[in-house]
Amino acid sequence: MAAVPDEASTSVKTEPELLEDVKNESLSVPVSEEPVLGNGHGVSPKAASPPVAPLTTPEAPDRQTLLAVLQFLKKSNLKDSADILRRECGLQEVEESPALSPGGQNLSGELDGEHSLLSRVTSAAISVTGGATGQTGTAGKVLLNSGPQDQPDVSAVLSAYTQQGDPALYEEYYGGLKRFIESVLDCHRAELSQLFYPLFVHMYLELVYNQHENEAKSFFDKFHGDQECYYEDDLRILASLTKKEHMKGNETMLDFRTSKFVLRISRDSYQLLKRHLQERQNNQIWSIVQEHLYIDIFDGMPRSKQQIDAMVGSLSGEAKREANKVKVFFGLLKEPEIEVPLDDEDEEGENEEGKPKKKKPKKDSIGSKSKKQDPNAPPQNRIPLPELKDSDKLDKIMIMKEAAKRVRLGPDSLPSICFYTFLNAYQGLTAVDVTDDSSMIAGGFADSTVRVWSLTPKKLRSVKSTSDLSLIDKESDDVLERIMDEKTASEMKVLYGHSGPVYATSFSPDRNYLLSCSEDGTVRLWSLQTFTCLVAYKGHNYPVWDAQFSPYGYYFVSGGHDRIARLWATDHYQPLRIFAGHLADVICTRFHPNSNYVATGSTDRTVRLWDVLNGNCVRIFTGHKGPIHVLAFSPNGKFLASGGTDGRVLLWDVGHGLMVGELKGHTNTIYALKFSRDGEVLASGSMDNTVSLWDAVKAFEDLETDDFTSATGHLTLNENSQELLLGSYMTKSTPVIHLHFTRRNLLMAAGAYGPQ
Amino acid sequence: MSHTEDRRYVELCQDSVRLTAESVGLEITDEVAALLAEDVCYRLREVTQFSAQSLRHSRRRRLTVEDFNRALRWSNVEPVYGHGSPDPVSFRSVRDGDCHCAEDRDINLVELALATNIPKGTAETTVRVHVSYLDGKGNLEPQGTVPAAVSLLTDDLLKYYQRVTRVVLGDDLHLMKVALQDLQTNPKIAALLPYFVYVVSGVKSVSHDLEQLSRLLQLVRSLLWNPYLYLGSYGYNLMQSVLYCVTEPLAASINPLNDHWTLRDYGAGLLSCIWTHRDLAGSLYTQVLQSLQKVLGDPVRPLCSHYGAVVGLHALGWKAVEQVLYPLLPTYWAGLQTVLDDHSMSNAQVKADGHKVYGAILVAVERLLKMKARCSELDTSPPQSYPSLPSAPSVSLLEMYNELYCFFGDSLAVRFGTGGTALQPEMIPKGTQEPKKEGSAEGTRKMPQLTAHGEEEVTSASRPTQRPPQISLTSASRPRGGTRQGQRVLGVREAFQRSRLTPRGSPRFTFLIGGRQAGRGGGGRRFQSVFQLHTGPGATASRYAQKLPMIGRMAKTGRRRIQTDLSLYLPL
Repeated sequence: MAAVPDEASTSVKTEPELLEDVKNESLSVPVSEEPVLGNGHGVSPKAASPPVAPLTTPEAPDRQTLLAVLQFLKKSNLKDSADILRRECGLQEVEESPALSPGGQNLSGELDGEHSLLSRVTSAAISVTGGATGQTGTAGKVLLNSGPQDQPDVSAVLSAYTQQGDPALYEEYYGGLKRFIESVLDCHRAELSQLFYPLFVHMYLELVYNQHENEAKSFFDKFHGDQECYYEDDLRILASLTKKEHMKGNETMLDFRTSKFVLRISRDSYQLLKRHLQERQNNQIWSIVQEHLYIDIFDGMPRSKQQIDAMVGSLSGEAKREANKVKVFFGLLKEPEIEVPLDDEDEEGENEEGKPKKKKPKKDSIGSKSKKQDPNAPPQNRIPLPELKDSDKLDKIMIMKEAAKRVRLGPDSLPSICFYTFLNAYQGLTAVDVTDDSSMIAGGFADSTVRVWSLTPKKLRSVKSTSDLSLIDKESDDVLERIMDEKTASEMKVLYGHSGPVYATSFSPDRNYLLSCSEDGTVRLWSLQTFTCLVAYKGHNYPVWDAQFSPYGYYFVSGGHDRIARLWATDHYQPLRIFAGHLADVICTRFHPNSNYVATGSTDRTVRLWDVLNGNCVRIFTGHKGPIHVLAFSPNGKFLASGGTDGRVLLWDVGHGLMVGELKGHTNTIYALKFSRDGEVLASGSMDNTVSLWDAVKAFEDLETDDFTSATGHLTLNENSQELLLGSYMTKSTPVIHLHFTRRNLLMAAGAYGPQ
Repeated sequence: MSHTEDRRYVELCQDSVRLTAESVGLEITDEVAALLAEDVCYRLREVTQFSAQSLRHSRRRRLTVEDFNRALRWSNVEPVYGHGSPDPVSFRSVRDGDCHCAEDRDINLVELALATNIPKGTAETTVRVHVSYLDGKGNLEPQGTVPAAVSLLTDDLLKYYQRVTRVVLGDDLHLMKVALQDLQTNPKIAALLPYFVYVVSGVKSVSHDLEQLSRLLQLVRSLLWNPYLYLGSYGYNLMQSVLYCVTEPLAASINPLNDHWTLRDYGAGLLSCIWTHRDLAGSLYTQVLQSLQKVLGDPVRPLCSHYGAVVGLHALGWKAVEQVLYPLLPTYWAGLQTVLDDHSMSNAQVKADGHKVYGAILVAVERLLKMKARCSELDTSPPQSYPSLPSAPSVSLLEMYNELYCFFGDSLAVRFGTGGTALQPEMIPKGTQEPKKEGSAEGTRKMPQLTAHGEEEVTSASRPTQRPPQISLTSASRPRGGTRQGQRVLGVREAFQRSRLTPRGSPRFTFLIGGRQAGRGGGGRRFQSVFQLHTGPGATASRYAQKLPMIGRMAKTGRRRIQTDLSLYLPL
């Protein structure tokens, strides 16, 4: 308890979190991580749970307590007692920390200091230096601070605001700048107008911090109308902030303080601004620009208003250009070569004459495709992946066979849509997932349950109890059939375990496991053989908004209210990677098809792409004007689509790090996005009770002809949403919260019927 | 509570704070109250923001008490108890207090506890799947909802619907005709289409009643002919119902006295109407074709089904016949033959049916040949003048003819062998060839020659009543071509001569098929065609002929005549 300074009330909360950080630390060092991933202990998901489960639950709290006590002892200079305790408990790990920490510092600062070092290594893209340079410890702390509720020592962060101009002059300063910007040439005006919002926010916060409440209010009233409409939500929060005391613990405020707002301005415009501010000796604004803004200056033509509007809107401005410069291996991994039995009876039986002829060339094309290594693909073993089991190989063969029967979609052949309506979902349906082979559907409910339905006539059965299993003849051919308990067969199974709404469910690719994450801060792994919970992964101490299995199984990613996305392996009870950098909740997480990258969407209105290998943030996409609720990679891994509360779908080129399209049409939050199996059609589902189909080929094809030479990455998007819209389909008062393309390109949509 | 001028944020007034403080026995100054009020507002907004987040993640539209409580819990504040229901809380205004409070009704627990009706639990959560859009098109009509929705119609329409259905299925023939006529022309019945379609789909329940079935089919016809109706996806349903009548072994077929053949013929006519219907643009063609093919290819089905399939194919046009019937014929023939060869008494009925099928096939292939011939005529330069030039279609035509000839023998030959081409010098070798082939076939093949018109005096007695006046001379007086009697060769020649004498300039061949499958109005069907005699090696016929077992016994002429009659003319 004493380890945490100041407020005793918050200590209860922060303590486990700090300890959590200590635990993570050892795991998240990239170099030491490699062997863990490469792993001597079975990569196969089979090894996933049983040994892990006991580790997490009973031992973890004990250890945490011990660690807390140890730290307290250390801090109180009771070294001997600490040593004794450590020896008695056989805890070795702690030894590492003294080496790194040059005592004397306050402990929390020390831990965070280490962590910030770590974060430097792992996530280089995060702008670590808030305003408080030289106080890395504190800055890191705020940055990595994983919850809105703990109230960090903000004084350091806010110290930048203590410099005080005359509060009465603020309006004049701002007004003067406004007049200046309005008077410049049109081509510069759009660019310089970007300054309005961050300046407005910072000046308002300064006024509030220095307790000029009335001035702040009048400043707000006078100028808030000038701001772009997409900042409305933030302004609403800002308006409620009128007291210095309230600034502590206010997320939005902290976001503003800890990260520099990034603006992209052409050199000409910047010179213009600089000259103006220096001429006028407008030090107040100039100091804000220097301290709180990051101006990314580029050479070339100033951007148009439209270009700027497309890219801005995130909580921290645009992404710096260098943030998107890292090479991304967006190609697909080589598929293992599996011999497909050519003479297949049922195949031949089903098709009439004519078909078999067609099939052969197709098979060859598949084969040749997989043989050629994609130049953009990562090295095959960049991320250790689980080896294929026999059942996986069978499944791969199934996929190939189904792919041969796949309907080619396009503007002229749209998919049929099946709607899976959840009836009587009084508990509130919050999440849906469908297995890749479309044989099962899982629903997460607000009443903490997860329900799994079979979509085929095959009922869900669990494995027999151990005593019954021992009676089975293990040599028999149908042993897999015999181990199933016929008495348990049912169409639906309920999984109890969570203690809060289940916000996401995800099937493992081999259909043996199901992931679910919940408001209770845990991610749970369920076995679909026994329909029981195997592991509860604890790490997020706040609601976990999303969790998803890697396309190759074994790994999964989760993201939550703590602003952090974590990468896990099913057989580790602690995360392998921590992706920190988002300024607000991580709402959605998606694996890249090659499993080497993870994309996350956040309330801070950015999409980030993380490298699984080293935990670096390799892409930051800005442009959404509201929280991002869903992401989808195109099957070829080249493109990413994102959708959110602003009702727009944005398309991104992963390799070039550019926005390449905007699809407007939905009138409410988009909760579901999915590319068809061949990537020709993008389906989006929304709260406005519609499913829309978009011509993805066309959306990306114009782009191919475009010249990307402009390193500036300033793309003019053509307003062609209506041309790309292939169709918009109403449901019967049912919000669409999940979309899935079957292997033959039938579109399945799911949602709960809502009478209201 | 009061609202600020822009009404976006809730603001708590000092009085509320002071009142609350008093309620717990605290006296606070104005200053404290103001500060508290402001702070409470701020916290409220904070909590609201968090609960809005929870709302978004729950994929709902309406903020519930639960969302708010969750936010409170996360900020370490005791939740508000007592409002757990997902239903919105209803507020009631208190008049003298100028404020609102939540409705909180008293519930009589005693009553609830002693109540005999135990409240049911909520229904189990389930997943239902529904094909919403097929190939990205249109909402499919939910099935089975049609009758329930009748009440949604306006009274007038409802009355109309009831009257019409009653009349169409009723006893008064005259009224029925009026009703059908109206259905065919009424522009305002679009809304009733689903209901009529539903009525028509009732064919399955009245398969024992020929009269009803034919009425329903007439109803279909009226709907099809109504130019104001857009059939859309209902075309499929209509097609299903008609197909049912045409190809299913109806319960009515059990009794040989029932003339279900007419029904099937009529239905076949409707099928062709459906697939050529403007609204459907031929979209159902392949579906119909496939189902007919399935029926015909299924040897287990009774002959009347096969008959339906054949007339259906015939109605779909000669291309359908070529596509489906022609390839199936060799296999099908074997089955039919055994039926026709069985002369036992017990088989009499089946055999009669078999002859029906035989006749139907014959008519179908005849038209096929004729149309092929016409095509080849159109494709190539007039084949009559250059018959020696073998063009591609004429070759395949020839083969087809040869093959068909093996099955049908002279009944084909007679009909087609009479082209006016005999006038041309090139025809002479054919003229000689014909008898040669006949001769080769004679020994091996004795087919029942089931021609519609090649009959002698036997049929002529009964025919005049059936024949409409426009009957052509050629067909009526042509000698039976299929006979194996001595005069047969002569007969062929005679036919040539006769056709040569026909006072028509163009070498056209007209004949008329009476009988049931001629369908409409019993007026018979006139076929006109030009057929070019095959010039190829005549041996092809015999080649098949040797392989194929004989059908029919020519010795029994009397029986043959009966068969002939059965096949096409005998009114059942």
